[in-house]
Amino acid sequence: MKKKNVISFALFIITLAVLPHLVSGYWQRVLTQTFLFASIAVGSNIIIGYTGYPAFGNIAFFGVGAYVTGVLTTKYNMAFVATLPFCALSGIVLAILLGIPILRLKGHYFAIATVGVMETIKELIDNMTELTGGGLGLTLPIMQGEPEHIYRFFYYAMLLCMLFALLLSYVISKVKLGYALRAIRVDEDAASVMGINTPLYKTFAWALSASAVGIAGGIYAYWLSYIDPHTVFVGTYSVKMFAMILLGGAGTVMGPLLGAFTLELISELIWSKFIAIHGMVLGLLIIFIILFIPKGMFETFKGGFSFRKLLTNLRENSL
Amino acid sequence: MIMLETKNVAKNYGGLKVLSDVNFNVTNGEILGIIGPNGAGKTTLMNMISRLTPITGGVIVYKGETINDKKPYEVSKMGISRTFQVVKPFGGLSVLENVMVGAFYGKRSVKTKREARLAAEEALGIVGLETMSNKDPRTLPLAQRKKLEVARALAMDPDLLLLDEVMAGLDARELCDMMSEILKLKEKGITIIVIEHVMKAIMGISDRIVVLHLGRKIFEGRPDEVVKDPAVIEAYLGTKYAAKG
Ligand SMILES: Nc1ncnc2c1ncn2[C@@H]1O[C@H](COP(=O)(O)OP(=O)(O)O)[C@@H](O)[C@H]1O
Ligand SMILES: [Mg+2]
Repeated sequence: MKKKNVISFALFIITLAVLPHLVSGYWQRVLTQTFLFASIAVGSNIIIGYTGYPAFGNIAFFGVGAYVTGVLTTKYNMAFVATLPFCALSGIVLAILLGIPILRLKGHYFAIATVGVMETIKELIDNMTELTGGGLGLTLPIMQGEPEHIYRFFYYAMLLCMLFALLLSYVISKVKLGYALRAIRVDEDAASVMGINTPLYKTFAWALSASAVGIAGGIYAYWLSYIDPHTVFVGTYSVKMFAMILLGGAGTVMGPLLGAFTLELISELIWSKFIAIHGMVLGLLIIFIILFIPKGMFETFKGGFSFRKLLTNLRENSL
Repeated sequence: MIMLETKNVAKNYGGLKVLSDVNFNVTNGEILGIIGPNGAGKTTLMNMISRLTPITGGVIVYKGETINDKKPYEVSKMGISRTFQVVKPFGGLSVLENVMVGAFYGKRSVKTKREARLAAEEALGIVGLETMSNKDPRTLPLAQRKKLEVARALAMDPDLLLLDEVMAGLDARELCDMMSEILKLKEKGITIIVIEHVMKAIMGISDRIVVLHLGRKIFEGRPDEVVKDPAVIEAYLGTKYAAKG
């Protein structure tokens, strides 16, 4: 990393760390939600951006993570923090089991398969009434303490989760593994004859991706203190995650983070007033991204923002 | 010593017989040329050796071991490296990073970025691309992209190098350049199979030549013999080359 980047990233983290002491509970909640989506986007980018496998249903690991925390805290009296490693583990194990069959599929087929997986898991959990409460949902132990204290707790927990996802993503981009994943993204045959065990590395990438998304799910469950299949296996979260990754820039370390912050803060400032057309705006945004900034904000505006770049992109990408 | 041997190798795509009964071998340190017109089955043969394509019939033996059931990444760890006729650079990675992938995962399989970079720089130096390290490979002219393919394969530290039409599409000077580079690799002790459909390029560098036609081997021998062989002239060279030769 360049020195300038290190300094600006450090400033960014310090700002986030002191912010709860400066802003209202409302804004703490908005930022906690932003960290949540940033964790999902940054984590999912490992399989989607680096490896080029559009795991549209990656939210499955989020849902499973939420239920792992839910079940462990209610049925096994485990402390919340102690459940988080199990959330990560659930993602890893599930990604390995699913990866062996479905990572053979490519492109749209893989994307659709992951959505199928998500729906299947949602149905399973819906039907495992004894363990999960089924459609009635699961009420988690409520955290004791002052509301202010609780706000901050979840703020910092989600911030740490986001930093974990970022660290994971950064390290992968820098080590040997990152080279294999990027080679797989471009050309799997070429990667394979270069000596890359493609099935193994794809599965590994998905497992790491799932671990971060699973932890985010666990924290979310405790934060909400009530979960049911529909609140944690949410199709629109998949769309949002994808839009964030595309907006910021798939395959870059900071892109999905940038995308998550931009989208989540914009949606809080503007769209919350137009809840009814939320989906439409998201759809338009995705079209905008594909036409004007297909490489994402991070790559496109590296040297500064300009409308010229948007227009050049439009010309180059129009058929 | 024999490095690679094919025994009655065959390939069908559905009902289409692309290769039948192909037998040949390559000995250590040799350059074997495989020629044949477009569609003769040369690339298919290479895809089978590098294990990208299932083998319909016959056996391929490498360093005394049957590799029919091996995966591409397994044979590459055993020392088989190849280039692609249709070049396949990893876009989004620089030229240097492309070659580092080879060093990381080929037979060399280094662990650290520093080692990978050193190996990659050496390979780029061999093919004369050292000044292109930071470029996006998609912006390079064809001749250089072909060299990048070779550098990537070299960084893997191969014992057997398969070159699929690395000389096609090059101008006269680039061709000379590539030929002398291939000879340099031979001096380093690498065994090489060179595939071309252009006769001229391969004659000067091959120790032996195999001619494929419609999926069958129709000739095997020294370069000076191949141009005199009536079957080869008939099937492949046509009267044009014979007249010139
Ligand atoms: N995947 C494939 N499916 C069906 N036919 C193929 C496939 N790949 C190659 N072929 C056919 O096999 C024959 C040999 O092709 P190829 O090995 O590429 O020849 P060469 O490299 O000698 O030009 C051609 O007739 C080609 O059309
Ligand atoms: Mg060919």
